[in-house]
Amino acid sequence: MENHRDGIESRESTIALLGNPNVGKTSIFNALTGSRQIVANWPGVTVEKRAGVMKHHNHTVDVIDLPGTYTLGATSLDEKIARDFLVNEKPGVAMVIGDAVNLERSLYLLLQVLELRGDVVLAVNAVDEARKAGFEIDRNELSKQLGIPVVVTSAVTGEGIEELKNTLVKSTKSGSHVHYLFSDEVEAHLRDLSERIRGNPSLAGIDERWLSIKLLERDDEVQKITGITLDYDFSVEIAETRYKYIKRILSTSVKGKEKIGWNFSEAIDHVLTHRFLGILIFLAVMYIIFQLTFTISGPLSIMIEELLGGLGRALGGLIGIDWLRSLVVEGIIGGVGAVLVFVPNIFILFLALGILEETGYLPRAAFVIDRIMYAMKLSGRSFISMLLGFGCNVSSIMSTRSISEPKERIVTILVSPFISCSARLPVYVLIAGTFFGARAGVVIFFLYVLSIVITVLSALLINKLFFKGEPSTLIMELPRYRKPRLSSIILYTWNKGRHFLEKAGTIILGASVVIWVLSYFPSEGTGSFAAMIGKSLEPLFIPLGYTWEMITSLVFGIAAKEVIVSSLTTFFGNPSVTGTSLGVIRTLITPEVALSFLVFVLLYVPCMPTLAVIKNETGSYKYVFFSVFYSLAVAYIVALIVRLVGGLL
Amino acid sequence: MVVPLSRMCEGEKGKIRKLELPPLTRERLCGLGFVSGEEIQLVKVAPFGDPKVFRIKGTDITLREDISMWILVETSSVPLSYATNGEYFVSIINGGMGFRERLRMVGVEVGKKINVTGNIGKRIEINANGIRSALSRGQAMRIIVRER
Repeated sequence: MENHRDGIESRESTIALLGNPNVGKTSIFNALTGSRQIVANWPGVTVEKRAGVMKHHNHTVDVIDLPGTYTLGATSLDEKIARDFLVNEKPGVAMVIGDAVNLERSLYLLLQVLELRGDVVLAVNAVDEARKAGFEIDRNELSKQLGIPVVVTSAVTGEGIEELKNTLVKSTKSGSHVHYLFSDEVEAHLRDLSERIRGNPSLAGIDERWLSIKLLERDDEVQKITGITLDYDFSVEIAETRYKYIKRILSTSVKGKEKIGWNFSEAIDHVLTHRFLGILIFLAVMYIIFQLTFTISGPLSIMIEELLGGLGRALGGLIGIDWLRSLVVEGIIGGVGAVLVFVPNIFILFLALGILEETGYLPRAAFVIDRIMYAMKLSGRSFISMLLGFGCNVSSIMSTRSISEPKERIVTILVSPFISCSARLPVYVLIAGTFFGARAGVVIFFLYVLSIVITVLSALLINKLFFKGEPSTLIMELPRYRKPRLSSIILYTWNKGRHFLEKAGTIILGASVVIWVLSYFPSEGTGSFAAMIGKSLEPLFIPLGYTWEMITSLVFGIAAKEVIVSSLTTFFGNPSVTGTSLGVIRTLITPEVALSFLVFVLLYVPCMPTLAVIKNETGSYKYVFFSVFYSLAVAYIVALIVRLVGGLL
Repeated sequence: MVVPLSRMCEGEKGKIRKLELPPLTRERLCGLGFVSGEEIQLVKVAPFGDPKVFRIKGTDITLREDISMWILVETSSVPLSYATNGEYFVSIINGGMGFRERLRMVGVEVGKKINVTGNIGKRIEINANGIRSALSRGQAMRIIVRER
């Protein structure tokens, strides 16, 4: 069997990585694949799919990082994806990454994988931490008991990684084997069920014993595919048997006992989740992140702005044809530039979030703030997603995948677009800067507060509308604190942040060209198509008092909110200076109309990428339409109130 | 005695007896080690009283009252406020120096024997080391006692 695997350079079967959340699965993945990875989505759902290539000696193997799970049930989307991959794609090797400090729970997942297939490799990670905590793992004993290869590793020190690679390329196919027996009663049921399943041709290739165990656990999905529904439930007994077996293995293979007394994690937790200090620290951390995001990125943004301005002037001088010069300078450089200016901001935000995630603070933040979210019928977990929304609504909605409660997920997805994403900030800066001068900061602060208020109220309303006000549940692990590793944080930042660069290169580039065409033809200015669109919608916006240029920019802004800035500058500004001079607009509208316009920008229709993600994540156009019409209505009403109240003051 | 997990006090330990929860929630909790016979400890309470952090199989898991009230645990200790008349040992006092000091004055200290003599209205009458005193329910809630 081994011979054909040792052939010369060839693409071999896939390795699938499984493991509990927070066991360092991603670090192992990074260690195996280096930078040879791509981040895409699982088909049909926008759960992040991380795939990479491991090169070792003359082997080239695909590595898939499955979402972190505690069981192989189908209680959350993550679990379902991991399980479906194992069942349907049948990867050549399945590797379970366990936590040396908490092997018991890791083995619970391992046993479930072993029930499904025999060729599994166990990597016991964080072995350095386990040694520090005072216990030793006897890998040979573990390997003997489980009948599979076991490697002890540390993604931090690099220990065992080479050996792990050797083991992975050498691992051989084998059928699943029975490790432990359940009670006589359960075993009798398993025999009966296996018999019934064997006759079903559509289930060929899936282990019968596994299917039978899942049936006894009353697994919805397996009940559906087998067409068998039992009226008895052995899930508790089955879980207890697995744990008993694990206890027996661990009694011979793990030596030493955890040191008693205060450890590092507990000491930090005492402060970070403290009854009073916890909230203060949480607020301070949030404040620092947003300060960093906006102050550090400031000078970088100006640099990019100047660079692009110079590029525009240089190219402008080279191009002789009028329309082409206009397209390149005003359309493409002006349009895409308005977004590129924002790249430092986004990367710093993701860097900060990466640090919080790596260290393990995010779940603590969720814990501290949970009671407040509970009042909105959400959980601290959805708070994290919403927090991400201040960077980008797309990433915030994508991050809801780890919310296991479907109701809560939908509500979080639907309210996330009201969180003022960083793409809206340039609009605020531009308009508030033009109209409110020194008080621009106060105006922007007001917009952020309004964003939170509308998010909270919408969460309550949507929950009532769709789910009759039922609150969601919360089951969340607080992992050990870890020292953040620079390489993984940089990889995290890059993987998340490059999405914006791609967006700038595709959607925004395309939109910029379209906008330029619409505003240049048939004749520039008031005779353009853009003007026609704006003017045709003008009657609807009379109560709000927006000019056709503003309305047109709102229409274009659906492509991406930053586009509002680029189209406003195209209509009003001086194209040679990106997004600074909007003097003309001050003669056209009053400050309260400007403020109401900002409110409208904050609340109206989510951008195209966000709508696309809403469709993907919820799997239904119903929620997309809801999102569009609901946000339009909210935007119109609130903007109108702002204008009327502002007019009185 | 068997109490819901949500009734435990900070620092208190118990053994899981039963999960009276819907199958999906139960399965998720099983994966985290919530099976009967397992030892569980209430480690921490969040700033606004809920959720709470429980330690099970060496890891900290956060649960809200809506789940923890349906997990039954066997514990030999109870908050004094739930104690019926009889003899108990004080096992945990949740409170600051001031609170401990005041209790010490009436003979209530960790490890000491106390006698619950009555349960009148909102007050609990105890006899500790010959000193008779009445504690409010709020105070009694913060004193964890173990049956003899």
